[in-house]
Amino acid sequence: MSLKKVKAFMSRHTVVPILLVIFVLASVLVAGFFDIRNLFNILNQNAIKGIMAIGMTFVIINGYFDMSLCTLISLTAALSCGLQSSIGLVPAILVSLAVGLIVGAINGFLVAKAGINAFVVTLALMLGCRSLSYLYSQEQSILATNDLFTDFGMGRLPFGMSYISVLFIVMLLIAHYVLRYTKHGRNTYAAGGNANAAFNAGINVTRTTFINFVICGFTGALGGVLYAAQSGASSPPLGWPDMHMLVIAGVVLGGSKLTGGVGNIWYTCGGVMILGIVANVMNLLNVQTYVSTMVTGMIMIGVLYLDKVLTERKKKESLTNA
Amino acid sequence: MTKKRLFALLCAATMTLTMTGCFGGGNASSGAASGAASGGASSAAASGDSIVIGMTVNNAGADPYQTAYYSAAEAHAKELGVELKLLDPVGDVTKQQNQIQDLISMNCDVIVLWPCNAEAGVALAKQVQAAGIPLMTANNDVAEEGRQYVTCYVGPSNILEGQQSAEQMVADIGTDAKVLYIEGQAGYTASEERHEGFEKGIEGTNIEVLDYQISDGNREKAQQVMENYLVKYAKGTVDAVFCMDDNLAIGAINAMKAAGRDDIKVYAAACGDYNTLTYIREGSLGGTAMQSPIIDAETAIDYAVRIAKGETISDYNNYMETPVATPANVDSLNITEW
Amino acid sequence: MSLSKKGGAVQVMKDWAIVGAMVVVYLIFAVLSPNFRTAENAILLLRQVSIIAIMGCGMSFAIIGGNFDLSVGSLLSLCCCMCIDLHDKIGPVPAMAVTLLVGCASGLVCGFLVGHLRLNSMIVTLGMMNVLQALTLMYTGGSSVMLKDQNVWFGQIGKGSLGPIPYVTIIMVVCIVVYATLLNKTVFGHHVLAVGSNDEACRFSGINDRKVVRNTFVLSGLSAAIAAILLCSRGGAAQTTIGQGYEFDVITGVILGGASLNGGSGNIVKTFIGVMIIGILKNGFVIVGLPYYLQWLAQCVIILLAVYVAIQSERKKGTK
Repeated sequence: MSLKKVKAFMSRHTVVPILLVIFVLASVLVAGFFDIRNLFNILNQNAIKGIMAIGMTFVIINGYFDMSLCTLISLTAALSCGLQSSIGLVPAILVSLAVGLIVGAINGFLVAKAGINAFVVTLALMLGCRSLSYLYSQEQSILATNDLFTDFGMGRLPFGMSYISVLFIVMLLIAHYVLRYTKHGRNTYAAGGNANAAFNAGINVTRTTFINFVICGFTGALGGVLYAAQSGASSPPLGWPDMHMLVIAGVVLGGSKLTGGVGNIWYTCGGVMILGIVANVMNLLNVQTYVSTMVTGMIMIGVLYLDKVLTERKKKESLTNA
Repeated sequence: MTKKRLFALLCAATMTLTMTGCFGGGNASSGAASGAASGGASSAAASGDSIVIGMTVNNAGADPYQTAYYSAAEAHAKELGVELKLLDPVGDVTKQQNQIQDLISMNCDVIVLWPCNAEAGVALAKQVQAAGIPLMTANNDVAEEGRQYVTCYVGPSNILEGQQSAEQMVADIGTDAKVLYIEGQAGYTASEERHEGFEKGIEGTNIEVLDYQISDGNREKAQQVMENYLVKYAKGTVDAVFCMDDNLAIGAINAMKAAGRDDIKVYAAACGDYNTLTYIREGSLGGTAMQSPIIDAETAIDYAVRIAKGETISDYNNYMETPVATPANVDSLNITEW
Repeated sequence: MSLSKKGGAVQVMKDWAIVGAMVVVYLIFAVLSPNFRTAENAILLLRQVSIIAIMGCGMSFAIIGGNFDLSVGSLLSLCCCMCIDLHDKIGPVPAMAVTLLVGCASGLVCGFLVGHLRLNSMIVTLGMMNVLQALTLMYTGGSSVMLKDQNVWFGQIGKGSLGPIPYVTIIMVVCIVVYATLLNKTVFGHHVLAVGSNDEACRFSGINDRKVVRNTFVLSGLSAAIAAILLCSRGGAAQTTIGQGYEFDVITGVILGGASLNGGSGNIVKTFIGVMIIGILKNGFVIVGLPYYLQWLAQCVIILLAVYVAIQSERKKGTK
């Protein structure tokens, strides 16, 4: 690959240079960061957020976003912990995932079919899920009683990679395949890029959007179940008030556009990892709370700005080349 | 175009500076380095010169009590010559999970856990034990199921605090009274335990709890809850309101003052702010267990050092003293200022 | 606009269906509880919603301009802590002036990033939320701040009342009138509506959309600062987390009020109605004695119903 090609790749995938800079800086400046155990540690810490971000990526490429995620995870975490003692582990997980599918379906129906603004719909569902979560758990934390459940959540392969990280990678590959090689994936890009043109080209935009919200509901529910497995318990405020924003931030920092039509699953993974590395570095440096909050905030704005600058440069270059 | 590129570079440089800025401010660069280097430090720990204590304290640097706790712990650790790595999950269970993983990979000699949530703390405790690092809980214990993985607990007894304050309330208003409850945060262990203590304290009496609402641990929201209570319950229908802590109690007192009501007595399960004594002196706060963050933090560090040195702690529960202050005894209690 | 006069009246009623929703919600609680329907409680309601309503005025501008401002909750915390702390140091009036300036400055930063650099408002204001939170913690060192003397006149702004009507309610009404006038009767307001509905087109028509967007954020920051002064004056103290989560109540209120989230439409009075509905639910659930968490379910249902009705009437308008 020539230097020019590398450059072109970098400016098309702006998350790569940004992530590289942050990674190199952290490795050089922070002792204990560049350590195989710590690197797996970062992957493990962000695997669940990454899984939720996968579903969010579908919705964002489609040109929408989903806020209900924030409380959906506490609902499914509570259900998976609370039901496993009465109806068994597998049914409990299935019920939780089904709830996610239902919430996703309601979102999808109201957005795609009824044509209501996605922000309004998912905000309403966020309130609804929060209410149901508190109602079901009676405002109490619920302990997971099944050892298999928590053993999975905390389990590690050799080298310290968690089972959940493995699941994350598998899901990344599936999502990559769906987006890249299936009709649904292509439809998603088309619908997000220009819904009218897609409609005129004979794409069923309504169905595409509906399916994407269901996917997002599913990954959200799965995220909740995995959080419960990882921490061995559910707590009512889990995810409140800004889990969905962190997930959306991960997707957007990766370079997907909230206007739709742009994005891929590896961008998302990179965006989530940017935030994950920053959090890990702040912990390693043992800084006061306010420093890490400040840096996180500035990184969000900074990465967004860098992405903007790099993409604009690319646009201008392609214009002058033409 | 070069201008834009320069600007981008500048941005990256600023970010670097922010990060390195944290180095200077955080006095932690050496900490991280020695943490990574002390692979087999158990023998060094025994001699006492490079003990590393890893701590994750819920809301350190965000909540007044925990902030006082934080600085006291830091000062005391310095005094004892041990290294303290104190992280703050800001109330987020998932963040605490990550921090425990980070602390494990930093090779601490002992990990002190102040769990955001007792139930979720069980898995954390299990994880630390699996990594072969001794674990101590502070201020808030993990749930029953996880205590087998914990060396000991150091801090106040939240249940006892709730119970003692409730008993004080019963002594003041009698056993046939009607009371209201203002809860802190749903799912927050200290809230739940103090509530449990409250239930114990009124056990065997005819006291009726008419209403129960949460306030998210926020004084302003507690004030709103109290305002709504005051509309709902006319003068003479309620005897007292019991709050999760002094912060909420002051919100309730503010609401009563604003409405010109003084028929309801206010109690708090526990109090971590020395200034609250003014409210007790003027009689608007009927009673609360006093819990000093300084004593709390210093005891915790002392025990952590002992564990790191390999001493055995005989008791599991090591409660600090939390005397109940009332308008009658506040001046004779001799509470040292914090 | 070829609607007959009668059709116009029906349309007006549909446009203002949200008022009907508020009345229905109020009546339900009024029937359920005699304590709810007192004049005393009505005034309490107006007092309790005032903070969120004032913030809602500014947020409406941001949303009508086509953006979100998630930073207002943290800004509220920062302004409260600064105002209380500075009150004892430099006096009440300078403290309030500084607080208002800080609010505007924070809005200006968000506005610059979103308006001039054209960054995504949601992530930028999320980032700002973190930055402001950090500034609050740095400023206070994590501890809460308190007025030394709780009986100063500054406290009266939040606690006092003119006859039966609290000052905060009066200030809220003034804010609503000013912001509504600004939106509906000034050139700037028309520009905001134009920018929100289609910023591409208005750039060609000579409106400086960057400036307009920036100013909507300044207005949002300013309203958060005003709300902060009232909030901290009422409590006489502030903790670092005092504003946490307010942004969601504010946004929910604006949405209930029916500001189209694609930008370009919205109405400050409707925002107030939306905020009122949330306030009534919060207050009513406590007084009737239902678990507080059911209020969120009620909010969920009301939002969906309100939006559904709005969409139906939109469609009818379209077919005619």
